[in-house]
Amino acid sequence: MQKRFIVIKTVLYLADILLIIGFQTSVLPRLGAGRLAPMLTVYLAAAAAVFDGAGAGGLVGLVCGLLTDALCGSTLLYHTLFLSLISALVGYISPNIFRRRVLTAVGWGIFADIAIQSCRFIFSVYLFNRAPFSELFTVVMPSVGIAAALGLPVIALARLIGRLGRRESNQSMLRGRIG
Amino acid sequence: MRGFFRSLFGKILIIAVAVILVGAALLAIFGEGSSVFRRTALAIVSPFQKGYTAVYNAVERFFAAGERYDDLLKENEDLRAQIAELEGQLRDVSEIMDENVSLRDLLGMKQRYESYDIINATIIGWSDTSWRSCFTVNRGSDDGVELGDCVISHNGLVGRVSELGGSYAEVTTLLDPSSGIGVSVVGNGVTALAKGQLEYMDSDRLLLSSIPHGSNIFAGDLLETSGLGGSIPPGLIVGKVERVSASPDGMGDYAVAVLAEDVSALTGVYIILDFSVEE
Repeated sequence: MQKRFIVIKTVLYLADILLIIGFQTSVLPRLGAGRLAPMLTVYLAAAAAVFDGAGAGGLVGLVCGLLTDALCGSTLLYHTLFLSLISALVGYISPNIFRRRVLTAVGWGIFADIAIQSCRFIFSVYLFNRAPFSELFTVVMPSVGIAAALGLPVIALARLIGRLGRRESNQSMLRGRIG
Repeated sequence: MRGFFRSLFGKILIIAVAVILVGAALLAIFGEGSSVFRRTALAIVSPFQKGYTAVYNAVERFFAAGERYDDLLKENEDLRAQIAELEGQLRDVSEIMDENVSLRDLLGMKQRYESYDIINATIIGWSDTSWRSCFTVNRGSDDGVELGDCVISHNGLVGRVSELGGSYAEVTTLLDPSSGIGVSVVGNGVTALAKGQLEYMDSDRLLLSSIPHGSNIFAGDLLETSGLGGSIPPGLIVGKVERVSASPDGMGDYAVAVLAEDVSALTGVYIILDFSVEE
């Protein structure tokens, strides 16, 4: 892919991250979902991994994780490490199993969201007796459900960014083969 | 994948990731890391939060106005009738004010505070986790806000400033499990420690502990800040006692109190920049 497309994509992904995390921390909590806290950034990272590969996924996951860790103010670097690793893993595994589709990104997003939220709940809340185990089903899972529904436009946006420069890339690959 | 990490971009990415992770880990280990980390993130994200909040408020106002148009017409007629009635009542106001002053004297109430230096603030963001209760406001150190400043609403104390930037401040509410303030019962002075609990966070309730066994504290009692320690002004309304129980070990009592303010419904608050108390 041409360098200018890489730069454009990087800028677009950064803007996307800031827009989504801004929405996640300002408007979402006011929509009356009580203690439910949907994490849309997970879906963006998963989508970047599905549509742009492990490198982009890992980088988007890293930035999303850093901002989430900073804004949550707890368990420093938990989201950073988890989100970047899981996104890179998705980017590495997904192309070998599934096609690059919105549904694939949704599936990976839900998987990553459940993994991240459940681990966080169990290791930083439940094991310290700060909440009963039932909250995994009354708080964590409904949060994942809402995030999955709201994650669709996030994934669609990431798909648009992922398509940038792909045609040129394919054409240059074909030219190389013909040549 | 292998090709990606061999490319120049891939190498730069790996180095950037390593530098960020090591830097963040060092900051976390050596003291104020978490604070620096959060301040940086808030500085980046807060303009987006302000934008979203402005749009959200505008949309909310628009729809609220549309829905209430018919109600407003009727309300307008009612209000016109009330104005006529109120004009009559206005004549009695000075008499009522005098009566108010005499009643205050009668009850022995006194103005405890010489002055509060207060600024208003708009809430621009909320914590995006289920395990904390905090929000971000559009005032910061540029407006004179300091860490630990009390944040109040019309109904009473809401929380304290826990994180600070130039144009924003993060407020940890009384409902947050990390919050804890000294309160006293209005009327009899029984003191207790009011703490946020995860299980009560959603229902605007606090746990009162450290109550001596047999103290005169009952459901319905009003709670105010005790002011012990000097960092919080005394006399700020906190909430109302809902129920009192004996602790399982029999050493004391505990109680559950309802916060005076519905925190989740707040859109604006006031920050107490400075206060003085008359002894």
